[in-house]
Amino acid sequence: MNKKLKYYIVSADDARRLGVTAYRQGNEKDGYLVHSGDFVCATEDFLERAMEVTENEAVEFVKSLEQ
Amino acid sequence: MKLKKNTGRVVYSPLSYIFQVLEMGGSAMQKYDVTTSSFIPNRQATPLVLLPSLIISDPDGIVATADYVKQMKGVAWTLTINDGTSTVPLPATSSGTTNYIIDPTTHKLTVKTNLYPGGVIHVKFFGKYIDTRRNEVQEFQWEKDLGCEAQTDMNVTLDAGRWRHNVRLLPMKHWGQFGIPVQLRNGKDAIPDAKCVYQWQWWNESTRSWSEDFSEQPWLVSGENTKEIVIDQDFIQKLVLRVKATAFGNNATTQYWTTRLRRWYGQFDYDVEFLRGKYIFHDSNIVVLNAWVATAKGQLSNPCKYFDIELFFAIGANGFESVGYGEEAIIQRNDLQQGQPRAGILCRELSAMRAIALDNGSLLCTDDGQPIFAQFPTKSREVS
Repeated sequence: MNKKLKYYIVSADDARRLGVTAYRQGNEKDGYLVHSGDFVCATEDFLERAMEVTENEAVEFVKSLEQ
Repeated sequence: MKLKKNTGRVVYSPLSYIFQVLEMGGSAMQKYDVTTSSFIPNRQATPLVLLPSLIISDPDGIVATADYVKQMKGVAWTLTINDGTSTVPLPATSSGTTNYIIDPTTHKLTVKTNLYPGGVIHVKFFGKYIDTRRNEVQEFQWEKDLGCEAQTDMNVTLDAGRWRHNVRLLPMKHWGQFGIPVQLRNGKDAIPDAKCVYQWQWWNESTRSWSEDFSEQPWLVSGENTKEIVIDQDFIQKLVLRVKATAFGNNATTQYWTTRLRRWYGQFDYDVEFLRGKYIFHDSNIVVLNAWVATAKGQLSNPCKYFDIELFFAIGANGFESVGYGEEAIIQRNDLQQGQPRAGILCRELSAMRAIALDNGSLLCTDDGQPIFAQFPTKSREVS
């Protein structure tokens, strides 16, 4: 089985609901970067609202936050 | 007269401490997928956060039970990197680096660096809490190794789809040139062709080994180095094909798939009938014989395409004489009245196209050097 980790950008509201703001990177405006492991206990609608990004795009997103 | 003094004390019960470091957003053991050369997770995107927590409770209930980590003094994170060859201690507080970020308020350490397999980071926390009421200092330490283990997230299989290991090629159900596609998969996902190597091989009976030399194999059309080999049914009598497929340049992923193909006629029946001349009258001088071949699906419309059909005729007790090849034979004789007419048929399966070898071992070729192919009966001719 291929269990490749996937990365997503979620809104700040969803990040709060997921309870990940303490350790995931992001902000109110751009949202937060999470990975598929953060959705383990979430309902499907979270995943539907999330925007999937590639690993490279995820790293670029983090860099853009630091600028 | 001097005043004599005595001092009482306020007694505070010792506080109760629970210190822990929460690992958030990941785990101390990172994984590195050798197949895709990626970290799981990539800490540059989703870092590991180590959050110290100091819960203090007062048995007297004077100090509120809460997390007092922000009141800790002398806090220091110490990181020692052991990359397998040397150990490099990092500054005790490395807030200046981008890979290790320490929050000066919460003392949270964010680890944003990825570790390759074999590398270890020894993380150590030290901090103090001073109970000013009792003038007591409590020291807290925590340490852990952050590591990385290589994993190969692979379940490579070779999928041949509808193809079976044993394929009967029915000449009457002509496929012509056809492909045998295979696909390397990792789990359910197809591995991109750029990351796979496919090599077809055929079983050489004379050398008793697998061969990758297709130079003199007339059944090959194309694709011996791709995931779909294309072959020509007309040239296949008996063939064992194997594909060797390797993914990601890693020999441990090599998969084989073998298939046997052979020309096969299945059940069939044949006979010869009199179209004319079954009843011989005094003026009869012609007999027409007609042959038919039938399979389970019915009579063949063009049996000579698949069978070598030889027709025989005899009168009375005389022996059979060959009167021609094909579906029909016409016998014109004046002596038909001399005995009972009898018809015979010899129906033999035709082989696949074969090159014609001469006595000296060389192949019979056209003027431009192309070998000449022909079909031959697969059984011996027995006429009695």
